[in-house]
Amino acid sequence: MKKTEKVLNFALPIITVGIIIALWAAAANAADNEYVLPTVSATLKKAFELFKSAKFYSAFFSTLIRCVVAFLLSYALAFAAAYFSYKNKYAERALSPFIAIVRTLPTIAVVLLLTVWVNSKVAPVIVTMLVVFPTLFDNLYSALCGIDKEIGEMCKVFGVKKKDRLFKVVIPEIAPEFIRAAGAGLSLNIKLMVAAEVLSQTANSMGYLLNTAKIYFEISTMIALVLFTVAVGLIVESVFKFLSKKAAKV
Amino acid sequence: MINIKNVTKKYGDKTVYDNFSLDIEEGVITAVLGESGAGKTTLLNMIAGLTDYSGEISGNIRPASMVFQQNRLVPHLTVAENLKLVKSDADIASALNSVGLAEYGCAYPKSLSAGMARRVALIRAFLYPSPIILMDEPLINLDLALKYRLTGLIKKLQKESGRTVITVTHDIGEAVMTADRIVVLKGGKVVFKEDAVTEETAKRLTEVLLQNGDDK
Repeated sequence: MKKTEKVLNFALPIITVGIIIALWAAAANAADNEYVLPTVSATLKKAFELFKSAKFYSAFFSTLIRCVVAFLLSYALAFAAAYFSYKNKYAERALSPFIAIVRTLPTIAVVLLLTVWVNSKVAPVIVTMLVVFPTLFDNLYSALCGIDKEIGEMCKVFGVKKKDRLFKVVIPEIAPEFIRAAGAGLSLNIKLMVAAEVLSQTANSMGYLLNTAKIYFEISTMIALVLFTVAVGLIVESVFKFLSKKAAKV
Repeated sequence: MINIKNVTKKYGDKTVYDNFSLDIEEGVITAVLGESGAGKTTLLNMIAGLTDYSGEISGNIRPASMVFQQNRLVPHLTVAENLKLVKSDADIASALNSVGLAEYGCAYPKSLSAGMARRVALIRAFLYPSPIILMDEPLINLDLALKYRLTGLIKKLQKESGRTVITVTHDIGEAVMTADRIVVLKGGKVVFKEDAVTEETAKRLTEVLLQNGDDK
């Protein structure tokens, strides 16, 4: 990679973020009303206040645990569905209507229904699972379909042991795609979880903090919470991208 | 002797072999020539047990080792790991040394030239403990000098191991240079069989293939 290209790759995202912050600052200045759009500094100040409070961390970790539970369940279900669809065309045909329905489910309507059927701690977990499931299924299924059949035939000819074939050939081949899918799924998971918590009014959650801030018209707190959620999502996605690159060593 | 007796193979409505029979001598290199679609690769796949058929194929053919048209090296494994996959207790260093790739054990297939990757595929086939090695166009898409060098390598490896090698090709020169025996297939039938390859063989092969409408 050329030096200029390297510099541009590093500098351009920073410049973009800089432009967004500058536009925000200009808009806040023009609005001149903290109830419409707070300034960058007021939001940062609020963010630091939040980071100092135990309530924030308690809410954040509760949301995080729900995210992890929803994600693991969703990933396990998506993997099972993808595996059976890959192995058996009839299973694929049988599962396709279910996946199509789940894919088109109106998220908000489902949250509202779930709040009637289950308690407010479980509803966001189920809705997040349902929404993330089709995306995970698509990624995992395409990774499984991408397994090189010619290499499989080579393994058959040379009598490669099943264990070696699985751990030395198949898993390293699909691992980068599986990790990338996990990163994208988890990032989407976090965003959805917060939205579902707002709608379900889940106690001790990021969604609850956001809702309370809205009720008290604390716009800077709301923006600080949103920015924090975005940052967590970005970090998660970046970590998984890095791991995926590491897994794809060639 | 490998006996292929009354073999019939169909792909849907298309019959590739209909009651086909052929004897192939063991312990030598036999080249199977023929135009595209003559059933050369199908013949190898049947011997390797990769495709089903009706009839009988007998002889010392299990397990079979293979050199595929594409090398089929596992891209995320190094050269040494690729070789160990087919024979875990193999002496990789000396195997690689025998094909002039002693320095490349830790290299990934992607970093090898076409000729190097071909040599790895060849040595992998010979490393696998099998009585028979099946080669599907092993020298296709290689330049002339490389073809010549690899032909020598195949002959050397076969001579050292004394194993049966069946190689399919549509290149007359390659067949004459490599093989001890030559068989020409056309429409699922043997149209020419030569048990001793001589200087005259290439000329006669050209005549046979032209006579049978081969444009290669």
